[in-house]
Amino acid sequence: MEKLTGKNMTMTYEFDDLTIDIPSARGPGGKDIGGAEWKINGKITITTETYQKGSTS
Amino acid sequence: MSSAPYIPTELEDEISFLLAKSLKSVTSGSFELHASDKPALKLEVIKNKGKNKRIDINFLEPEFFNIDINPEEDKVGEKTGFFDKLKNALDLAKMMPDKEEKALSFSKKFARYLTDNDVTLTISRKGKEALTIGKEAKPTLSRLLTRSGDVQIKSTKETAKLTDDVLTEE
Repeated sequence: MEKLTGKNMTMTYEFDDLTIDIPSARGPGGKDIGGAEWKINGKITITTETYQKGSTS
Repeated sequence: MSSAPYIPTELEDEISFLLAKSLKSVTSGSFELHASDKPALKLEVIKNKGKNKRIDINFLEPEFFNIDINPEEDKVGEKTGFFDKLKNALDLAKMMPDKEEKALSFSKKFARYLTDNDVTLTISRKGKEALTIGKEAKPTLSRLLTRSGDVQIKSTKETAKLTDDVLTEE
């Protein structure tokens, strides 16, 4: 798993109309909490890089 | 001998149940993971007839998902991530001395919950189908290996390779 968060890496998470059905539930005091439909579209890119700590420019 | 921490059967049961329920919640679409511009994993949800749903997971770069099952690592500190729980559940299954108890290990419970939720999971390695788990699994000879009616080994070669890629012991 370290490779997923390792140094000098670019991780791209790409979602294409990913639909998640959130079911309704009972909240505090038996209150009805309505369900929802989440639609995820788009791209998240996370880049990590190493650098010399304390280096002077 | 593995020194994996003890996980109560109820917790193992809960993890497999929640994982199956989460997969049921994903109703359509796809997801791709790229590592340094190389595709590493692809997940696609395909709706079948009625309530049935198929989720295809293709490990294009299975080495990226490597879980080190070296027990020495457990001494570094307590881990609470999903993969750590999964690893612990697998370790526990390995530690079980009784073969009958082993037959009820994490993967079989998970497969059972997938069937109960009308979900089929197909797992491929580099585009080659290795396993079918859940509703549409039709085990014939693989039932002898897995002792489960919910796990079908499509390719023993790809399944073995995937296990080697994902679970390694250094």
